[in-house]
Amino acid sequence: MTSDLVAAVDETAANVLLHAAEAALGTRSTSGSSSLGPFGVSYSAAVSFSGGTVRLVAPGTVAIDGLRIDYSLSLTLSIDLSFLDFCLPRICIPTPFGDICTPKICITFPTISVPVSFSDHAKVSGDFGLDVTLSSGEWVVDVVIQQVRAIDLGTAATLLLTAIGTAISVALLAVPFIGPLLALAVGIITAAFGIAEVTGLLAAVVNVFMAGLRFEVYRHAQTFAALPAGGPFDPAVDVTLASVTAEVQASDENELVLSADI
Amino acid sequence: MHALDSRYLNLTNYFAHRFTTAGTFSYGLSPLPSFLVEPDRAEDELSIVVRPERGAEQQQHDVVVSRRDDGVTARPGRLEIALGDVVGWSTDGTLTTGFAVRGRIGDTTVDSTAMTDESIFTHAFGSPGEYRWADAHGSTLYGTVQVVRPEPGDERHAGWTAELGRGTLVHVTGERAEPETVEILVGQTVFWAVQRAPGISITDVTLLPGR
Repeated sequence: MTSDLVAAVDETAANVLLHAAEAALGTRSTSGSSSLGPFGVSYSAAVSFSGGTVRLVAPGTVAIDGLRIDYSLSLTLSIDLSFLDFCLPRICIPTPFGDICTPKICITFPTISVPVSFSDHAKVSGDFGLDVTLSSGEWVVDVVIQQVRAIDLGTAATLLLTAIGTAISVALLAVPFIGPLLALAVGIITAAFGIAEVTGLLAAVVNVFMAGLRFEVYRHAQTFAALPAGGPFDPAVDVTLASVTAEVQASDENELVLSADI
Repeated sequence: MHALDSRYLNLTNYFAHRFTTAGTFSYGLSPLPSFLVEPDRAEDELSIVVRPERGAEQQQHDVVVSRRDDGVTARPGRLEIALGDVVGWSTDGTLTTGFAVRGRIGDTTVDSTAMTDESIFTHAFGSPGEYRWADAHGSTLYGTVQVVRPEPGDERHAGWTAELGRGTLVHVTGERAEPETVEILVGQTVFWAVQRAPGISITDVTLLPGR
């Protein structure tokens, strides 16, 4: 059965639609919590999408490779320093009033918050499906994430691991009574997590933005004037799109095809 | 929390007094300096009975100060000591705002916020830096404590834990400190021994307005 109206775009045009949709989506932000080894992490993150190459795969997949995600992260690590707890010994010295001894003083180390700011980008490849909806009198065609095939974080995990280590050292410097325990503390804390954990954290944050990700590639009013009014006795001719479907059709070059019945 | 200020005795402080007058020292404990509020009075007033005779050796008696529901408490609340013995007060850390000791024995006032004679104040320094201190009550007394963090390679780095057991004495006579400047390691303790002073405090100058 043929449709009343058919529109088709090839992969080149589909790329143009995607990049316009990325720009229209703008910056998205979220916040949440995760973990880094034994330490809790709260974060806020903002991302924007750009680039990527569309491949159309029949019957209904829009594969996007190399989708670039630029992100800015504000992490706050919560580090319990109680493993450093120790006691100052009883100290006795001679004074003009005889030998005087202080009592033993036990130092309880706090849980510190370590802020880390970090920005970089990742490249994601994933498969999107087609979703057509009628919303407030407009037909909207979205591509919606179905699965993330790959996340390439580049060198971000290494850089973030270094940034976290530096931030921890700075934060510990301000902790009273840490003294020469500073190096020991930094060593113990940074040994508690490594590249794998940082990679996992970054991937988790990227996945938060990928979950449910959709790009709007087409929007059209359900009812529109097909012919303008020609005069007082020749009114405009309106057309109502009763249904719209979207699919990828295989031919000598795959195309994204929109079909409408009026 | 660990500021250098003898008017607020905190976890890292110790205040001690040698009693050289026989009689009963009735005193109060205040969670704030005594010039701001009157000391709390426990149901059973805190007291130290100083016997008129000296013991075979000078003894030191420690009193632990804690927060309780309706104020401040001391353990033990009552003591009997020999003439010339020393009593020292410290907190178990439950008094986060600090406390002060004030009372009288005979004609003598013993006040940790305004030390005059036979008194010791100690402070353990937790962070490196230069601490210039002065008397919050306006005398000309002053001094400096240089606190350094031993770096790896410094022999004091490896032996830091043992170094924490060493104290450094500053002898305050009248309005003069000797030595005026001392250098210690992070975590070490300075003892100020106060004699014939006009009622002084040991206060970080950054806490003093106009300094």
